[in-house]
Amino acid sequence: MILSNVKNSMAALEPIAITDTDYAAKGFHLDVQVAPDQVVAAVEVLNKEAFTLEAVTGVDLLTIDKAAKKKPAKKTEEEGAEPPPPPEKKPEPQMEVVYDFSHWDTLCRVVIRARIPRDNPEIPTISGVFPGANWHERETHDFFGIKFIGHPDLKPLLLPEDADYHPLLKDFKV
Amino acid sequence: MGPESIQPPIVHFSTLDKILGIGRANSLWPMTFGLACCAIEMMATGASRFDLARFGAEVFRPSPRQCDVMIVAGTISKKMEPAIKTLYDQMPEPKWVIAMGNCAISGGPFVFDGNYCVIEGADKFLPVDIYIPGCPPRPEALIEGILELEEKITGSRRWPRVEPS
Amino acid sequence: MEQQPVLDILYIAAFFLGGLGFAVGPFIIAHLLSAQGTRNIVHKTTQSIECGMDPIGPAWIRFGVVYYLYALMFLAFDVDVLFLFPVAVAYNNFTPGIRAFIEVLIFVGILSLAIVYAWKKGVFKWDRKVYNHQ
Repeated sequence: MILSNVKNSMAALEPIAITDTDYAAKGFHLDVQVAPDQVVAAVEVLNKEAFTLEAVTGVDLLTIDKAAKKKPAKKTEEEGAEPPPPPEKKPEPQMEVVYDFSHWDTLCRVVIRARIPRDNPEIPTISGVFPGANWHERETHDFFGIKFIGHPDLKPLLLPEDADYHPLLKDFKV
Repeated sequence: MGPESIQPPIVHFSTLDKILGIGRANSLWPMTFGLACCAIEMMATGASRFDLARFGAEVFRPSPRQCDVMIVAGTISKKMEPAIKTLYDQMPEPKWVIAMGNCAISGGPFVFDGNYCVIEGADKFLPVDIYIPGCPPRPEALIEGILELEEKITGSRRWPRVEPS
Repeated sequence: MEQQPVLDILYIAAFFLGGLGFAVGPFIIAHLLSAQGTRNIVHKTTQSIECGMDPIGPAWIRFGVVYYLYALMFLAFDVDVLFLFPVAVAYNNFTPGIRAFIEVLIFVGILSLAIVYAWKKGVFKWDRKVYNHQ
């Protein structure tokens, strides 16, 4: 019931893609790909359904062309397909911000993904909806350099306070 | 980089030093400084099977003002370094430092070309007295380290060294 | 004997000095026998302990005024007890002991009217006040 409620509410927002995934294979029930400015609205949908935020993390897609080529091939092979890449096939590399949510009472896990350009990675913060995302976003900023617009205090969480490097980028060298 | 050297007391009695040394060695109060996995082994050593209470060292104090020995158990990250320095300062004399585990001795498995956050060894900024190698060292190894520290303080060992046969 | 008061004072002086010695002696011994300072790396020995971090805000914070009321009540009854000490000496001579008992009872009863007053005023109710720590 919760899953169908979420799907209906999400569909009303018109995200880029909603995919049912096989829980046994992927570990989550629903995968929602949104544009960066739809993130807060999608998260508010989940907040209404009493989901809890598990993690906010980033993915550095340095070589997006290869990834885009691989994905259609994979789709035909297995069930629980990857969500399709965003329609605007820009050759520039992108980063993806992944939000994991889960529901405590009934088993339901939802993933929200948003792709942002790698050269200027900015995305609105969800810490107004889920205050717990404050530290997750600080960590993601720390390690990927993704700026969260509207975040109250985006200083480094795990790296030293004066760190200006972002270690988990694929082209990071000391 | 290094700390100041130890300042001797105003009045010095050698016999009293020996007696005080025995007292200090048999009641080393460690500071709870478990940073990573070695902390689990330290807790196991303090628990009932590998009892550290037999050596007088079961009283792990959270406050640095009440402890003698700082067992640096675990990986030291760059963000933790100022805290360690402050806590070392706040310990009163006489104080000792035990570096437990490979990470505290020399950075352990985190020494690689792209290392950006781990300090390679506690002795980069602390005067370490005893090194206990292992990843993590077994509780018996930590006990051996405490016995070595006792030998360093008093000059004699409580139990003879076990030679491999 | 005239020596007796002087002897008494000498005894008292000796015990006083002995007590003073026990109180001050450990400080002197520790000062002489301990190390003169502790080894420092960043010279933060005298900083208040906050588990290695710099302390946020002072330790002299404002705390609830209810504690003041308890201290006041304690003080009042401490003086009450002080007055009860000479009772044992003063009421030693009456043979009908019940009269002394009733007198002391009246004394304590008048002083305990202060408790009743404080009770009615709500001193013993610990209300949870919400403070704005800003």
